[in-house]
Amino acid sequence: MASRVAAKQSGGVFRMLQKWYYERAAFNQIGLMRDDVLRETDDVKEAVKRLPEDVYNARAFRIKRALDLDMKKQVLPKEQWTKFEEDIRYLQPYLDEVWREKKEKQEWDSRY
Amino acid sequence: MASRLLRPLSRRLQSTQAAVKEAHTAAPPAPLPKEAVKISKLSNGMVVASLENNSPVSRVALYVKAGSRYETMNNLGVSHALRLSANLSTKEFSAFRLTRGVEVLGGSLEASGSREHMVYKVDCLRDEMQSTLGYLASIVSAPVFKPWEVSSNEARMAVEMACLETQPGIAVSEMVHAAAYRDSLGNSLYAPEVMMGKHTPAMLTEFMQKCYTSQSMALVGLGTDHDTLVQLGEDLFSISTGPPAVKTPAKYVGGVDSRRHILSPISTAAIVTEGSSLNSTDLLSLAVLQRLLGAGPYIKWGSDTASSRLNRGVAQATQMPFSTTCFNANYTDSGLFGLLAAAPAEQIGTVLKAAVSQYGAITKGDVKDADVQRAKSQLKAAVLMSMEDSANMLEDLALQAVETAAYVSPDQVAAQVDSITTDQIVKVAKRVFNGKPTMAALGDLSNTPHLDQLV
Repeated sequence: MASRVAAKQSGGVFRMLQKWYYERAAFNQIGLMRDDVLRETDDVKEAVKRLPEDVYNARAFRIKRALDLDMKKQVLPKEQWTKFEEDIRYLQPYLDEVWREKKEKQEWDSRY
Repeated sequence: MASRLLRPLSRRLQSTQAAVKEAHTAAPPAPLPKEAVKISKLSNGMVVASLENNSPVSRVALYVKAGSRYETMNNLGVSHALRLSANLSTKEFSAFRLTRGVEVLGGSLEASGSREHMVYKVDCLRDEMQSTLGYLASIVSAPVFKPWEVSSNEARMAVEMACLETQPGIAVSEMVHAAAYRDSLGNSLYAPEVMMGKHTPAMLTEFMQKCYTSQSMALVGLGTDHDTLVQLGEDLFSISTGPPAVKTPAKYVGGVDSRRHILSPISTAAIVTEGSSLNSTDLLSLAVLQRLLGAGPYIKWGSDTASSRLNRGVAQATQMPFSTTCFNANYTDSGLFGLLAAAPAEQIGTVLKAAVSQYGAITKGDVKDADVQRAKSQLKAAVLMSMEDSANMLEDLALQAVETAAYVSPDQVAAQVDSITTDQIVKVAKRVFNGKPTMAALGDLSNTPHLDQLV
């Protein structure tokens, strides 16, 4: 839930906590964004299928680069790390839609 | 003990018998009055027509002037894609909801199309008409065309193209239309193979914006109250106040021989010339001529030579199985008239030559009055009997409503057929036979003659 709130909207202390946790997670050091490292459940897989081509290609590149860096046990230079402010949850709208469709189907299947 | 139980049972049985007897002796209820077709033109430009037949089921059709003739070279097959996209998500309902919502109301929704119109048919219980039409209105006015849903059309389109391969009669009809008209009416009902998977959401949206305006629609109902339908038309289908799409006039070009060689034991061919349009004075004369030449069969498993002149003529030329029928297609501004023949690949030449000579014979006046009379009766019977099926009734009413905003009843048509004379038939046959011919052939073409070897 905390991650769904945009960085700008959260209050000062909460935001600092978010930022601290983000830096500790350290996936930004190999150039990844939050939605690149989501655990691939069926919903996430379906949402990724629905990404527009350019967004999908950018995601594929970031993941490929991160795998390469991890193999070499390196990180990117500091200026290339993903910044907390620039980390957009690009997959969220598609995830929401998949979740809504699932909920609708469950509701109808339970009723009729 | 048993007799105590039996006594009230027998009493109940006696009272039931008395009640049944009473019901039989009571006067039958007065029959409901037979209603007439009602047509209104709405303020948003849409035509609403309805016929109350007191059925518990309402059948409603929405005809939109958005057939394949409105396609251009840039979006060939978009009407096919749009037909397949009728069940996709709209702004209000998801695709899942559309299907389940209509099902739960006990209704059905079908999208089909012709060269001139896109047709949406809704069958529902009379009380649920408003809700079911609400779904249809959403599909027609506010589809979303999500990219992943539109791309699922490709697989369904491939299935339809595969089915087309198994129907050479339909494939030849598409070929002959394309050869006769080039564009407009020549555009196929099915997307060309090069365009499969290439219909983008933007293309679909653009076609809909161009063609789906209230002025180019007709909402037609069978088993509906007219005022209710008018109200629903105003509320739900005020889609766009733009002008109807520009209709490229269909210009019959002809003179083309369109051939496609495939390895098949059967060869199918069509030879046509320009026929008559739906509002031509020759329309019914050509229909009679079609019945005269052969539009059966009227008896199952019969030889169909008694009333089919084409079959009689060809049966004298060959002993092999064959099938000939008179091809008659009528559209708003043009038509095709000719023959469609199928035969084993070695026989198709014989069959075509014999069939074409029958056409020639008619233009020379070789027509008996008795044959014309029989053809007229067959046409009248066909028109009147097709009205027994409410689906045909709805289609006829809708086509007239969307194109003319008026209604000519089958009885009026039957009366007009009665007034056709043999001279009119010969005259119209001469006009049609002397037109520029077009041919299409599909199958093993090793023995199929070319157009100039036949006419």
